[in-house]
Amino acid sequence: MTAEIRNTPVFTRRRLLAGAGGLAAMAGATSLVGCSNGSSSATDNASVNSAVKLPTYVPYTGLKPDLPGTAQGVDNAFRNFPKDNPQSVKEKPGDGSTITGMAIIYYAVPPGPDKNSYWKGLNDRMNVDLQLQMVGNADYATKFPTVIAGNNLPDLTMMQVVANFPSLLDKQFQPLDEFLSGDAIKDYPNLANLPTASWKSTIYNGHIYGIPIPRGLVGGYNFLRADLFEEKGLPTSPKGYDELLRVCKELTDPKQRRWAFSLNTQPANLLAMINDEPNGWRENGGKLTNRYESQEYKQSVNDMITMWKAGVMHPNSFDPAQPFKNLFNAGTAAINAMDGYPGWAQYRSDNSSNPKFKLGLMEVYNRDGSKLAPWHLGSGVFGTGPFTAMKKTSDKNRVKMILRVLNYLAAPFGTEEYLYRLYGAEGVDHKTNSTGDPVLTKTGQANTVIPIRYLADAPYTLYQPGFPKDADVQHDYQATEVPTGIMNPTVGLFSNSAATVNATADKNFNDGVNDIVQGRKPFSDLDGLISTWKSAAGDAMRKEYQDQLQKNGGPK
Amino acid sequence: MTTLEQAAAEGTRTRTSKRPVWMERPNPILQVIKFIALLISAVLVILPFWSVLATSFADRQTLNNAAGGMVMWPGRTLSLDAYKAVLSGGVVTRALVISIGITFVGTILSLAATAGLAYWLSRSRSFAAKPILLLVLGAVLFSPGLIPSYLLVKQLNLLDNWWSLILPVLVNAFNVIVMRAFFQELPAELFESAAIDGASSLTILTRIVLPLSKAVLAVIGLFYAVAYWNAFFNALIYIQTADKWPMALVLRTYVVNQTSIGGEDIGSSAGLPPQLSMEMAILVIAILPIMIVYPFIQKHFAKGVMIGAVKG
Repeated sequence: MTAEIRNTPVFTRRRLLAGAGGLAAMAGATSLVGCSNGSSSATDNASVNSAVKLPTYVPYTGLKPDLPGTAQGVDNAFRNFPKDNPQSVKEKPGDGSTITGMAIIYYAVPPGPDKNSYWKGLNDRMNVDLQLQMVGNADYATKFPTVIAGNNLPDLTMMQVVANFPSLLDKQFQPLDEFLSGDAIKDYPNLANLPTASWKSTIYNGHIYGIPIPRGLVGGYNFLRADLFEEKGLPTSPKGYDELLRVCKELTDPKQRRWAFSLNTQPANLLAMINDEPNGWRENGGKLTNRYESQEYKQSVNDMITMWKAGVMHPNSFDPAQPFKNLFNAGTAAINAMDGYPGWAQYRSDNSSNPKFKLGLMEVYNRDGSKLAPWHLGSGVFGTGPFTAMKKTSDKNRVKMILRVLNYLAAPFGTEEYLYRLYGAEGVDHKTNSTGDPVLTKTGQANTVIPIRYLADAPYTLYQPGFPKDADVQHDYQATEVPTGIMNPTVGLFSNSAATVNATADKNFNDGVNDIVQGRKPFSDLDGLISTWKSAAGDAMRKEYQDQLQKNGGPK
Repeated sequence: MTTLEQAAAEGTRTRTSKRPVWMERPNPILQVIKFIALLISAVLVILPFWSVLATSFADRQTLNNAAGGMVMWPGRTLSLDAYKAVLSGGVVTRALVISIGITFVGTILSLAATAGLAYWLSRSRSFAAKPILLLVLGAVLFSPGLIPSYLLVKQLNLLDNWWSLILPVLVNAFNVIVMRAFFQELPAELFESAAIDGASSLTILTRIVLPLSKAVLAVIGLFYAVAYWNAFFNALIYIQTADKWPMALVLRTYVVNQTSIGGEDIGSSAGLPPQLSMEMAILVIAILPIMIVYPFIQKHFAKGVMIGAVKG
């Protein structure tokens, strides 16, 4: 009996993706997938894009960080929450009207504004009626296309890069350059405080289409269980490949259920830096080389075979659903390489009841261990939703009002607005502990998770409540690694093939490589996999990116 | 030939007693084996439930020691933190009430609509019964697709309205066909005698057909109820205000999102009970109402399933 299943229309992921593909067509796109010039919209090319003037960067100076960041991309760090919380927005930004928005939520759904004093308070402070559609992050890719196809856009939408993205923006979203380009952004000082690099991801069709959600340029950290390293007296930053392999072997003890790594991508990401693979792509005189095609990648696959044979990876390492964070907390895996850097706070809180737990970070040296390896930097924006776009409107005053609200939400770390946005009202949503750090109450935990942080956010700031030294550890690490960093030259460029066919091609390629690593296929199969990937997606992506790069005279 | 050999030649057909096989005295060894087999299957069914329950009461250190997996024993102290966290803020309790409401109203409306349609299609002389039946069968084969459905609901002004969770799935074609088959099996003489006594079609349906169809109504009602209870997808697409979410969608955000917290982004999860025990706590809360209702419909269930099996 399958009657109960049939009561709901069954939508598969694949069908949804197909729906997303058809979207731009419904939105009146000028051209569809398979356009000969690669870029899906005639207007989204680099010469137009490079013509747009990025917003002027005016760093916030109201508060002095304990450890200042750098222009290269090291984040500001605070040991404790600042005692003095200056106001960064003098007047209420809103006009009393309703602003609707849609963004993802990672947490339990908070109570609505009528039952949520924090939300009500935020509305009062901004003088708006903020109405939010909250969508679980796993379901956003489903909801986003329906809302767009149904032409039912909220004022603010957390964007996801889909097929024919430039035409979608062109048809339905508001270009913001007149309000934000160059010095115009100075009307919104907290938005002017967002790093220049993060704005690159908002530019399409020669226009600024949104407010970036900035994230640390470092991208990821190589977390390690320092307590397990100390137990065996091992160096936490092994110099070179040979030492790394030795350390991994020493850490591994299957009888005690302990391995160096719990997921195959962890050693793969480390090796990518050790062997100096391209960070996604490598640009040389306008020509792009993907990491898969590089000689260095072959070396890494070879090293992966060695690591797998040496048994330093958890037996289920190739299962993408492996609960790697839990295994790290349990001490089953000692190294969690290139996990998102906000994991620091997560691991701290997960292990608050384990006195033995000691968190450390691994610096990466080149293959022979003579110097630090080039670090692979992140994109500088939140990967799941790089920017927030505004519904098209002819009412300029409304655009300005909404930008003022976003300016409020982007208030930098330590300001009065930031304190309220993250921790709510003192005594209700948070309490201040003896060291001056705000600690959320039970009410605060339930109330403050409304997803405004994906509509606008402050630049990322290092701060670990209750652990002042953590700021130093993280800041030192960033200061060591970020200067060696290389960017992916395609960040901020749009490739329709990357948004459509690459997901499948990339998966097939990686499945094949995993077979090679595990010895189910010979190493000689790698060349075949590479050429299959190139013809399925890689060459088209290269052409689309290169066209934009060449018109631009180099990476943006 | 000895009697023994004779007996062997006649094979197993010879029995000492004249009782049929199912009335034989039970063999104690077989009984024990059956008991053990049934016990093992019962334990296999109960274990996952037990583990859900145990994990929902487990504290952080117990979960960390289990490498983040499910536990079979909640640790030395029972921790109610997960339940407190889940129930604080009133979101879950509200969603629970909404789900019960939608399931109740939806099931009644669905049953009424399904029974009405099935009755119409079951009478051979009804107006346009054949073409409508074809239409219904067509609905089994072809679903309308996501975006057209969304546009329709939007044009009916049902977005962010609980009716959008009921009306689009009000009638399930498969259930109509099962019920129609049941109605067709009712003796034609009943209808004729009722008609001679002057009963209208509606009277025949309510006074004669429905009372004779309690089994099929119970089963199909259960199908509808479970479907309404579990449906999250329509709510995800059509309901915009999180305050109006049914339980299934709340449950989904808890369960599906947990893996990416932290790795993808920062937040205020510090101080909350472990995510896994919160998920399990909310699972327990979500299972409860169905577990309470199920025993009352169960007796019809066994009878009802056969209907579809033989006549559907």
